[in-house]
Amino acid sequence: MDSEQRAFVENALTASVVELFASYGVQCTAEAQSAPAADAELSSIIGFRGKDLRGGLAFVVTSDLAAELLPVSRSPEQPELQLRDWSAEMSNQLLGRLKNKLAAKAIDFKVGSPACFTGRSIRLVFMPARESFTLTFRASAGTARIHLDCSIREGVPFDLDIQDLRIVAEGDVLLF
Amino acid sequence: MSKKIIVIDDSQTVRQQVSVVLVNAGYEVIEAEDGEEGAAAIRANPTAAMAICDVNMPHVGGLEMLESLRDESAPVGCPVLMLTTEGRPDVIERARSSGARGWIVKPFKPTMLLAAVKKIAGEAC
Repeated sequence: MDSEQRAFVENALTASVVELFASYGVQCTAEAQSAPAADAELSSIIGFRGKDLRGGLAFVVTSDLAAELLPVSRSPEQPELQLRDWSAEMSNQLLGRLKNKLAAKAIDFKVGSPACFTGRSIRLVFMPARESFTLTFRASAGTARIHLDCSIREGVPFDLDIQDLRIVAEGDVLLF
Repeated sequence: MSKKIIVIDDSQTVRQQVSVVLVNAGYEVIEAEDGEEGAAAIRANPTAAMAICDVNMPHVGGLEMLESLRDESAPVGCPVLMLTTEGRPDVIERARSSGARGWIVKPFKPTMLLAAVKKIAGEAC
């Protein structure tokens, strides 16, 4: 990613996280400093690939924040399984939002199926740094870290700003 | 007797979220985890009032499921409402031309989902 591409993707991803959390009733703020890895965390990894870009997104969230974001009541029988499932779905919805925002740059890609694992103090280190970045968000129930590793094909024009996209917004309904 | 609605999504939490809305409104819910299970559930329940289906699922996705149902020699008439993170018009057009009856971009608002269900399937009883 060059600096212009990186700035656009970072801003789009930041907005996507804030909007997604808000849609589940959770207010969060982006933090300049990376948060230390917490004890109990869930990490969902999801890959994506298109003509002009490819990469992976990791959504690392504390268990308490994942529970806060749940849109249904906690499962007494399988609480861990439920949080893993929801963390994976959150990564899918987050990447969906990013995809819809990148459509303004005429970029499209296919999204893979998310996989989630749990652990303590999950750390992900990407190389080279030019192709990746980490964003940290704080909410009252805990923190979320989003790692994006994204290669954009050289020469892809990023100065486009397509206004008439007819992208259907999150929450909207179309009936045919 | 309550109308049956088939909910197809690989996320158990999303299926539960949708089911709570439908069951509270008086519908009966049948769940399926991917497009293959969903198509089987649609064929096995010819009286189902409609299906609600994700697009991006492992194994068989929602659009592939729609297209396979459309291409059958005796197509089933179950209306399908897509519930997905996708918002691009070309993908929506592909679903529409394959017979989808509607499109909702996640996350959904329960009142909007229920209004769409009532338009497509009618009241629960």
